[in-house]
Amino acid sequence: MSIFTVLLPDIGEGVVEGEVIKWLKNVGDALAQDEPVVQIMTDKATVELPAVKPGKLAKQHIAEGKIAEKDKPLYDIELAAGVSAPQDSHGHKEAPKQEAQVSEKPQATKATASAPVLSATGKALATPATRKLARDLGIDINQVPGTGKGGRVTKEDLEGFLSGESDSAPVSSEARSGNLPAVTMSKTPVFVYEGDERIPLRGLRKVIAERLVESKTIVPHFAYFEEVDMTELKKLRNELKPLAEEAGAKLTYLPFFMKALTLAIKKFPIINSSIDLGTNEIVVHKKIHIGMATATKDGLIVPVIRDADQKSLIQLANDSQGIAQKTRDGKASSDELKGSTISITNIGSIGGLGATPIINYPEACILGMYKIQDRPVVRDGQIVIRSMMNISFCFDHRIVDGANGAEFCNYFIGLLNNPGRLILGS
Amino acid sequence: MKINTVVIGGGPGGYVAAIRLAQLGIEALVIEKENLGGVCLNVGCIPSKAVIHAAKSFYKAKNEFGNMGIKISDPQLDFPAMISWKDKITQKLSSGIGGLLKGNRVSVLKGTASFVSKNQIEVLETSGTKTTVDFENCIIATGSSPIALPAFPVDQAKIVDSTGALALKKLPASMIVVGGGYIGLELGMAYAKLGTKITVVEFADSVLSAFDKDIVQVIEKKIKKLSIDVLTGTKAQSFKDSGSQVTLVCETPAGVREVTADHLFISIGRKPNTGGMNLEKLGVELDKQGFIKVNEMLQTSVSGIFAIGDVAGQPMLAHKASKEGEIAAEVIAGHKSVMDVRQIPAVVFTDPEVGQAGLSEKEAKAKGLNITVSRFPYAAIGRALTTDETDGFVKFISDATTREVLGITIVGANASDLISEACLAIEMGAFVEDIALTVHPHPTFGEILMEAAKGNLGEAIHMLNPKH
Ligand SMILES: Cc1cc2nc3c(=O)[nH]c(=O)nc-3n(C[C@H](O)[C@H](O)[C@H](O)COP(=O)(O)OP(=O)(O)OC[C@H]3O[C@@H](n4cnc5c(N)ncnc54)[C@H](O)[C@@H]3O)c2cc1C
Repeated sequence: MSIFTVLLPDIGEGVVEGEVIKWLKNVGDALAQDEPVVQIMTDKATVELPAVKPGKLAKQHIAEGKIAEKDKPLYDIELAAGVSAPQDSHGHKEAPKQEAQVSEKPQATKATASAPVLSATGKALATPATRKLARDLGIDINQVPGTGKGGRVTKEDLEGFLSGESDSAPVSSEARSGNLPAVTMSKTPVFVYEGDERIPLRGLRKVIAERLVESKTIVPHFAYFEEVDMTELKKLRNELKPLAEEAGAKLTYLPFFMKALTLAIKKFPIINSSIDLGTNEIVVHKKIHIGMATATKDGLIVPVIRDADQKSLIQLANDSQGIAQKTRDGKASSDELKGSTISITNIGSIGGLGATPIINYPEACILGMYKIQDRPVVRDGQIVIRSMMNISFCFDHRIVDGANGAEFCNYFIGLLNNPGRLILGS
Repeated sequence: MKINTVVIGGGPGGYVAAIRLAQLGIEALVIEKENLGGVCLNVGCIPSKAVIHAAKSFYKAKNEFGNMGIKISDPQLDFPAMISWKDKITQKLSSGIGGLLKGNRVSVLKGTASFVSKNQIEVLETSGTKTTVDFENCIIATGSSPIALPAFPVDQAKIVDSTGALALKKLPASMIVVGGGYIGLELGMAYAKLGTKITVVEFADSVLSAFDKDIVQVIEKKIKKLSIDVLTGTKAQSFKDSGSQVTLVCETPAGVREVTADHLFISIGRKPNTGGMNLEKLGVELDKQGFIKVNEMLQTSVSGIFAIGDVAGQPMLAHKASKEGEIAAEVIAGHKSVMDVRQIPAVVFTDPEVGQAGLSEKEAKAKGLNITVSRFPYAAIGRALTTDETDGFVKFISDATTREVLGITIVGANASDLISEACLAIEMGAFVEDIALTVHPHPTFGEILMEAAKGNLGEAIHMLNPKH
C-alpha cells in the first residue's frame, strides 16, 4: 500500500490559499476517483476538490476552518492496490479546469484602471521610483489599479489609492479581477477588551468588504422610497399559485417584481447601465441580467438571473429558486455569480420597513423589497385597509438624476399596483 | 570597541554597504582580511577585464588591423608589463575605495572576523592582536572562493585558479581550462588571443550552458576561430606531473584521454565563504547550497545579522552584491527598503560579449509564458561594419499580449555596455514600443536595440520582417 500526498492545487489565478470549509470524507473513508473530498473557500469562490486517485483517505493535513496553502499538503490517499501515484502531486491538472475559471485575469491590453494589472512576471507595472514610493507609503503596489498606459501604476495612483478614491472602476464584473484594492482601513485604532474574539477577514467576508467599500467610495448613491399597493398583486398571485404548482413552480412575489423591473427598464433603459471610466462613457446594457442578493451561511452572494426580460413568470420563479438554492449550497458556478446589470435585494421575508441598499457595483441601480403589511390607506377619500409594501431604489446619481429615478419608480409601481399591466407588457 | 554596524568583508557588497550606512548617519566599521575591493576588484572582475581588453587589442593589432589597411609588422607582447599594468589598475582602485571609506568616516580594521555572540565579534588583526568589537547590527559580506577539486590541489604554479591565472609570471604556451563557465571561458579566450594554446574541458554538453543555445553558438564560432579545443561531456579525473608541464587525464565520451599543457586552470565554480566565523553557534541558517539564508530585506535567521553578496546566494555577481549592500544599509537605517528589482543583468566578456537582462528564451518558455521572440543581427547595423565587428545578434523577448519587455539578450560587440538600456527598460516595466519609439543615435551599436524592438513588433526597418 502506498501513501500519496495531495497538495492544494492551483484553484484560480492568483489564489494562494483557501479555507478548508468542510471535509466531505473522513479519514478511513473509501475514495472513488473524482469523488469530492474537500470543500475549499477562497476569496473568489468555494470549490470542491475531487479525489485524484481511488483509495482511502489516510490523513487530513488541514483541519476544517484552517487555511490550506497552495502547493502544501492537503490530504493523503492510501492508494488502492495496483493504482500508481500521479506524476503531479496536485493531481488536479485536468479535473479543476472549470474551477480554475473562477477567477479571471483582466485582459491586460484593454484594461483600464479598473483593477490592478500585473506583468507576466506577476508584479505590478511600475517604475522603480514609484515602487519605492509605494513602500515608503506602506502600500502593496500589486493591489493598486494603475491608470497609466497598459495599467501602469503611477505616483498619482498611489496618492489616489491612499486617499481611498480609486478614481476608476471596471465597467462589468467580467472585466474585473478578484484582485480588488484592499479595503482601505481607517487609521482609528480598534479598542480591544479582554475576551474579545478575533475573526480573520478572509474569503467571502473579505470580498464583501472590498466590494462594498468599492461601491460606496466610487458611487454617489441616492435613495428613493415608495410604496406598492400589493392588494391586487396578492389576489393575482393567489389565483396563479395553484396553476404554477401544477407546473412545478413555487410562485412568490419576486418574479412579479422582476417582470416589472424588466418592463420599466424597457421604458427607461438608462437605469440598466454602468459607467466605464476607462473610456468616459456610460454603457447602457441591452441585456437585463438581474442579480439576486442571497443570504448564505458564509455571507451575501449575488447570483444572476440572465435575460430576465425574455423569461415568463414561471421561468423566473423556477430560475430564482433554483439558483438561490444552488448558491446557498455553495454549488453555483462562477459564471452564475457574475455579470448582473441590476440587482434586487429582498429582505421583506425577514422583516423591515425600509433600507438603503448598496449598489452592486458597477451597476447603476438596486431595488430593495420589504415587509408586506396590511395598513390603513386613503383611497377615494376613505380610509381603507390595503396590503402595502415599501420599496426603495438606490441609484448611481452620476447616471440617474432625481427626476429620472422618480419617473422610473412611478412607472414601476404602477405596473405592480395594477398587475394586469404586467401581462399587457406596458 | 563598540560600533553600531560591523561589515565583515570589504568587497563590492561590503564597502558599498558601509558607504551607504555612513550616508544615512550610521556609524560603520569594515573588517577586511585581505584587500579592500574584495574578489571583484583585486582578483575578479577588474583584473580579468584588464587582461581581456589587452588580449583583444593585441589580437586585433595582429590579426584584424590589416582588414582596415593598417599594417603593423609583428606586434610583440611584453606579458609581465601587461600584468603589471593590470596590477596598477587594481591598486589604484583599491586605494580609491580606502579614500572613499575614509571620506565617509567609515573605519577599516584589517583582520579576520569571527562571531563571539550575536552582538560581538572577535577580529584577529593582521598584526596578530585580537580585538573584540561590540555591535548592534552586522552585515556579513564575506564573498565566495573558487570550488576546489580534491584531485587537483591548487598550487598557483602549475595548477591555478582564477587568482593564479591572473598573476602568471610568463605567458604560458598552453593551458587547460577545467570548466567552461564564464570565468574559465573569458580568460581562456583572452589567453588564446595572446597566443596560448587553450583546451577547455567541460562536463556539460556545451560551454556557457546557462545561456540559450543560439547565443552560445555565436561564441562557439569564435572559439573555433581561435583554435581552442573544447572537450564537452568530459570529466577531469587526475593529473600527472610531466616535468615542466602537467598532464590532465580526462574521460571523454570517446574514452580516456590525456592532454598536456603548462598550466591547469581550475574554474568549476565558486562557493560561499561561510566557514570559520562561528555562524553555527549563532544559529545563522544556511540553505542547501551553503549560502546564508536571507529574506528580501537581507536579514538572516538571526535578528540584527544581515548577509549580502556572493555569500547570500545567486547570482554571484558584483552588482548584485552592491545593490544588496545598499538595501541592507537602508533597512538598518529604518527605511522601508527591500530587494524588489525586476532583473539582475549578467554580462560575459567572451568574444563576442554577452549581456542579458530579464528572462532568457528558455526561462520564459519554462515559465509557460506566451512570448514574442525576435532577433536582430549586428551585420545589419552600419556601426558594426565600421568597427569590423559584425558577429552576433540581439534577442528580444516580450509578452505576446501586453508587449511588456520581458528579456533581452545581446551577443556581440559591446554587449556589456548595451545591456544597460535593457536593464532600465525592464526595471521601468517598458513596453516594446517604448524602445522602438525612442530615437537612438546613428550610427551606433545602440540602434540594434531599437531595431530589435521594432522587429519584435514586425516593423524592423533594416531587416525584412518575417511574414505572419
Ligand atoms: C575571475 C573573476 C571574474 C569575475 N568577473 C565578474 C564580472 O565581470 N562581473 C561581475 O559582476 N562579477 C564578476 N565576478 C564575481 C565578483 O567578483 C563577485 O560577485 C563579487 O566580488 C562579490 O562581492 P562580495 O562583496 O559579495 O564578496 P567578495 O568580493 O568576495 O569580497 C569578500 C571580502 O570579504 C573578505 N573576507 C572574507 N571572510 C572574511 C572574514 N572572516 N573576515 C574579514 N574579511 C573577510 C575577503 O577577503 C573579501 O575581500 C568575477 C569573479 C572572478 C573570480
